[in-house]
Amino acid sequence: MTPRDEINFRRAALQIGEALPDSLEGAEHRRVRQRFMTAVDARAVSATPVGRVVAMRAGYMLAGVAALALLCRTVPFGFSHPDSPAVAINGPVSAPVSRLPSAPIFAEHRAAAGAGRAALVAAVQEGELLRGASRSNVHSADVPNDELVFSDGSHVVFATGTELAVGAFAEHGASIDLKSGGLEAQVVHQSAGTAWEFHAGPFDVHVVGTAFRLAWNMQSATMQLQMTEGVVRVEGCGQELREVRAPEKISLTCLAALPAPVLARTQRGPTAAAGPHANTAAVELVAPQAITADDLADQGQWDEAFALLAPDFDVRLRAANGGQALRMADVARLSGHAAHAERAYLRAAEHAPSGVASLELAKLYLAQRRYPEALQAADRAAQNPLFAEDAARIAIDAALAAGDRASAALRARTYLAAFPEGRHAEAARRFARD
Amino acid sequence: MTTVLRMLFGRPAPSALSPDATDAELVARVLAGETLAASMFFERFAPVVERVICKTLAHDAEREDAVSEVFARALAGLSALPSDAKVGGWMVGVAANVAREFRRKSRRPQWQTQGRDSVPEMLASLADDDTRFAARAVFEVCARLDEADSELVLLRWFSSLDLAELADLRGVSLATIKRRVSRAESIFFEAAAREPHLASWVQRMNARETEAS
Repeated sequence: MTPRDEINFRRAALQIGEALPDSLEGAEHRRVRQRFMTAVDARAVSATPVGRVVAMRAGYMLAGVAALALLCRTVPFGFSHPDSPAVAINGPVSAPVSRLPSAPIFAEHRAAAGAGRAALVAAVQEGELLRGASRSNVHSADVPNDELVFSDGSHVVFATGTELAVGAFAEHGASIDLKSGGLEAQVVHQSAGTAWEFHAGPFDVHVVGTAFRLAWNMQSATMQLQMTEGVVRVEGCGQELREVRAPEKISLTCLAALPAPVLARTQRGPTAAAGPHANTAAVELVAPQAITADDLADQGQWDEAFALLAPDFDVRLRAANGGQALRMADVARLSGHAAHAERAYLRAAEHAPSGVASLELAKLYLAQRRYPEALQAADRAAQNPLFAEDAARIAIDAALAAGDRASAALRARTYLAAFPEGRHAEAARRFARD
Repeated sequence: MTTVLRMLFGRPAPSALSPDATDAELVARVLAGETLAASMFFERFAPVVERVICKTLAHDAEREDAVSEVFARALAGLSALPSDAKVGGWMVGVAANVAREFRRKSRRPQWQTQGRDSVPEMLASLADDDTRFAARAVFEVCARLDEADSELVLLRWFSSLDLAELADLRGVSLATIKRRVSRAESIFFEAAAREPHLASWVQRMNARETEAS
């Protein structure tokens, strides 16, 4: 830019600045004001003498509960630590500090309540049976899971209806017995001695530091394990120890653990692997399979889905049909990979030139200031009555952005002819006048 | 009953507060929970906060949230504000920080985050579409610049902050801020020159002005 251009631009920038709104609209301003006044009000109440006393007392109570829970887990009462000597519960509790075992893992059960979490916090006892949403008086449908939070930072979220128990707490881990239902675990790796175990029926999952989902269905004697991070070792039901790594998903059925009537039916079927004896321990590997990009995309995990697709993106794309290409394009678009998205939309557009892929391409090109290409793609999409209106608007924007006001006006008039009451009619009328 | 409630919740009785109360007095009374003071505080500083937010955020839907966020942060930080602090300048700083965070979140192009049924919309409140496209182009150029540079450009050109205010905001001398603004503008011009729509818009604007004069 020449100095002359710079001066011109400064003047133009001032015009833009003046044209920009300098305040919120009336309703927006009133809403913000109301929020501020409410916040001041709430702050004032909590800052009053009574508010402070209530807050302090609540704080003391919580601190007391936490301290008691820590004490129960730390002092060898005889029920908390597997290595501690058996001491009667009413026995001496004033053990010298130096003789105390290092603090074992302990857990708090958090039941979700209202809009937030952790309204109710209770220390969990070994062997205590927990049931998802069992504390129905505080449960909220908005937050369907209950959660176990451990002192090492690990946590286990279990679904509604799930039954589990914390079998034992240890110094570097705990064991969880999943009686039925499903859970999602995130175990924090802290040292080489980290020893977390999950038991799902006859299966044992040994964890060092990882994240996964685990489900156990008693009726079908099936354990499902979906790794989201790291690696675990699985054994049980007569099977040798095997490693399962993220993002693998396995489903294991233990025929020996099937209820008798189900087992009888299964044994008659062609896939029965247990032999004639009901007590024979056998595992039917139902469907060991990797998580697909579609699975992840269904969960809105776009970055993870793209990571799976990326290594052979173009190979997959060549083999993809229109729908698959569109799906890949969406994954690339929503994970922020414009070049991949463009290639996939182009591929999808080969299958359906006036389909949604062309509309997406038009938006993409407009955003990238590739105006001629945006116009072409919009024109293709406009052939489809489903997308014609949006495509026409994109075409007007692209023509304007490219500086072609005559074309924009022409397109605006075409738009008005087709959609006189359309969503963009007001803007189109302004362009058409130009 | 009212007396009992007041004793329980300790709400201070509203006392006379002059419209000319100093910022420090206003802050003290807001912190004491006085509704009237809170209302005055909001009305006193809302214009400058809204100006900074509205002039430096391109996404229409974000402005209300951003202004709310500024006042929420202000309320949380007022108690730590020194009694001799310039409250107005401090509020501008909070607003600039919030606006920067919102811009950072919006750096991902809209087409990547929106559903299929939406056409990207920015600055829809601008009645003149030509200016809207130019303003959008300025924001897009800014989004490609270093965060600090783009903030200086937006605050200087659009929010109309003068150099002294910018120097206060950044905690630097007037000479330093002059240098930084000049550098940021040069970088901006260089990037804007590669933007054909912006360049042609500038030419049209100037041609129109020349004709008019």
